[in-house]
Amino acid sequence: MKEIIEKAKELLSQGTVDLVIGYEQCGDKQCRPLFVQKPEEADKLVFNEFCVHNLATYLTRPEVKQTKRVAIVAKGCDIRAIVNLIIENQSTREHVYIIGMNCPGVVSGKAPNPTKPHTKCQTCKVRTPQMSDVTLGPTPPESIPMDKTITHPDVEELKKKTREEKWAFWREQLSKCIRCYACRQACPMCYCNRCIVDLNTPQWIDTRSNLRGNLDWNIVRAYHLSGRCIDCGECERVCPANIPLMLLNRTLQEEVKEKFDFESGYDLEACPPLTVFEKDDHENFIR
Amino acid sequence: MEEKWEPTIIAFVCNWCTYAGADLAGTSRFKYAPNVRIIKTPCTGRIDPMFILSALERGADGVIVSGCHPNDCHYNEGNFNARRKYIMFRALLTQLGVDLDRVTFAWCSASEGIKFAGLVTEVTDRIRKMGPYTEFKQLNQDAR
Repeated sequence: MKEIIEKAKELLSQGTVDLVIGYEQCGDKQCRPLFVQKPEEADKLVFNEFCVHNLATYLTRPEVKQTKRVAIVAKGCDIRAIVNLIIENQSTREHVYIIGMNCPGVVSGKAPNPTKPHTKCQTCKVRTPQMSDVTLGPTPPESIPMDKTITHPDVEELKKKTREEKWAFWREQLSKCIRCYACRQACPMCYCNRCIVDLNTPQWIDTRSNLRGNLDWNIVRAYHLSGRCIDCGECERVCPANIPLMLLNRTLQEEVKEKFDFESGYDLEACPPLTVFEKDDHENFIR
Repeated sequence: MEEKWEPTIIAFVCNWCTYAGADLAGTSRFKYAPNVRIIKTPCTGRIDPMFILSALERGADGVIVSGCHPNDCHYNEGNFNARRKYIMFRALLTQLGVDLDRVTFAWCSASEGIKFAGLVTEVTDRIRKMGPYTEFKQLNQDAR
């Protein structure tokens, strides 16, 4: 992609930014993150359907925070993460130079043989970036309108199960977890300096890989992401045990949409729903 | 001789309303089920959803969460924040297949001793009929 390379060179040589975070090709069907600090290193930058990673996750890393200004190659879905990080005061709009990419969709499935189009792309509302300093790439197919409510078929399927079936399903899925915390590391919204799972006075979550600890860990992670998850699907992609983690996150996204009419990552002025309240919040379970 | 199984109920209550309500139930000599273990917290907003999970995992058969009515919170907004948290947490547990009939939420003020006594008795009777929460007890055993 010539225009990304030119843009990166321009930004670095003019001193607008000290670092460009983008993608480079590695193998036929795989890309990997690339950190460019000198204009001559920018030639490796690419953008194609294998650029799945959500690079916004690096914005909260100390090394990146120390830079004067950082440019980041971001798809619409990645910009949702950047918006959320700014809302949560983890970054500022001035610090990030967003190279927004028009994105026709990325692949899912694991390298070296990714095939399917990514689930998130089928419901994408931001094929043209919603917020950027410069937008590159050919005009993508039309996005789904912003006000459309998305329902995910896999969530619908889960909801149809009985309680016992759900429990059996998650027992089986979560017992595969090896507690590598790849989900946490890949997640742009998981940025606590000390994660609850690493705290030991008191220790809330068993750190051994047994079903109790796995259940606690995955419940806590999903719960902490409620109203914040931006549906990038990175946790599920990096999970070595193939646990359908997005199923939980999407359940909560739909709940947030239904109860609080909120979708995260589209509006810089928005308040995350779990940081505020309405006096007449509706519920039917408190007696 | 085998002892008859009795449910263990953990009640997380706020210091300012429900704990005082429980106190009132006691001083007024209302009878209620002795199965409940009350844990006092400063505010409903302090009752982290993890408390509920921990209680169930450590052998509780039922959990009660109770605090001040809306607009009555000692800290003005603790219970409003808690309400939002629990809306989300319940949605999550529902999809995970955790038995939410075992987790009861109530507003119970300092003057509602009788409501508290009734709540505890009703919950205890209900859980007694449901039997021990073996699914979570099993988790605990496997983790040893």
